[in-house]
Amino acid sequence: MLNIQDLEVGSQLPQREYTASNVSLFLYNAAVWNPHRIHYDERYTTEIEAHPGIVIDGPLQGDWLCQVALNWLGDDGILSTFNYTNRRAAYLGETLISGGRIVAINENTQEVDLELFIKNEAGNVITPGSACVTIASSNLRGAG
Amino acid sequence: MAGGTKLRLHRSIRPGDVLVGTRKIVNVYEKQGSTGPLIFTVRELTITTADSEPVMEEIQTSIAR
Repeated sequence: MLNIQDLEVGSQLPQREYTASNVSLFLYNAAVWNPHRIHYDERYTTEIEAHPGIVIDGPLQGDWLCQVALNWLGDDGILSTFNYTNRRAAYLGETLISGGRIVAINENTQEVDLELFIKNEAGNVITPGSACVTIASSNLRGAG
Repeated sequence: MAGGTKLRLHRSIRPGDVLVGTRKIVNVYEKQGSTGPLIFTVRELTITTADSEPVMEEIQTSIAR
C-alpha cells in the first residue's frame, strides 16, 4: 500500500521495456478501429508515405505511459490528470522503455505529480508525459 | 498521426451512470515541418452525467501531413 508520507520527490517508478511486433500493432489498431496502413503495411508505409518503417502508434505509447502511473498506483488512489505529447516517431524493431519519477508531493491534498517518459534505445525521450494522482486518504498511516 | 492527449478525470464511473459525450473540433492550424506543411487538428471530448456533472475531459491533437 502506498503511504504518502513514505514517498519522496525524485523516486523512480518501475521501468518497463516494450518491443512491438507487427502482430501486436495490427491487433492494437484493429482494437481502436484505426485503418491507417502505416501501422501494418510495410510497402505502403515506406513507398507511399515515405516513413523509414512501420510506425509505432503514438496513442499506444500514451497507453504505455498511463500504465506507468496506474501500475505504480494500483488500488491506492485515482488518476486525476494525464498528459503526453508525441515528439518523435518510433518504428517497428525499436525497443522502447517506459518509466517515470515523482516530481511533487502535496500531503494536504494527497496529490502526487509524476513525470513520465517513453525513451528509445538511444536514450532520447520521444514521448514525454505527466500525471497527477490522488492517493486515497485511507492510506494515511494510522487511519482506518 | 497522433500528436498527444490531455486528460482530466473528475470522478469514477459507476454502474447505472448515464453518460453524455460531446466531441468538437476546437482548433485547426498549420505549421511548417521538416518534410513539408503539417496540419494540426485539436479535438475535445467532454463526458458528463445526464445531470451535467463533469466526469472527464480529453483534448487530442492529430497531425496530418
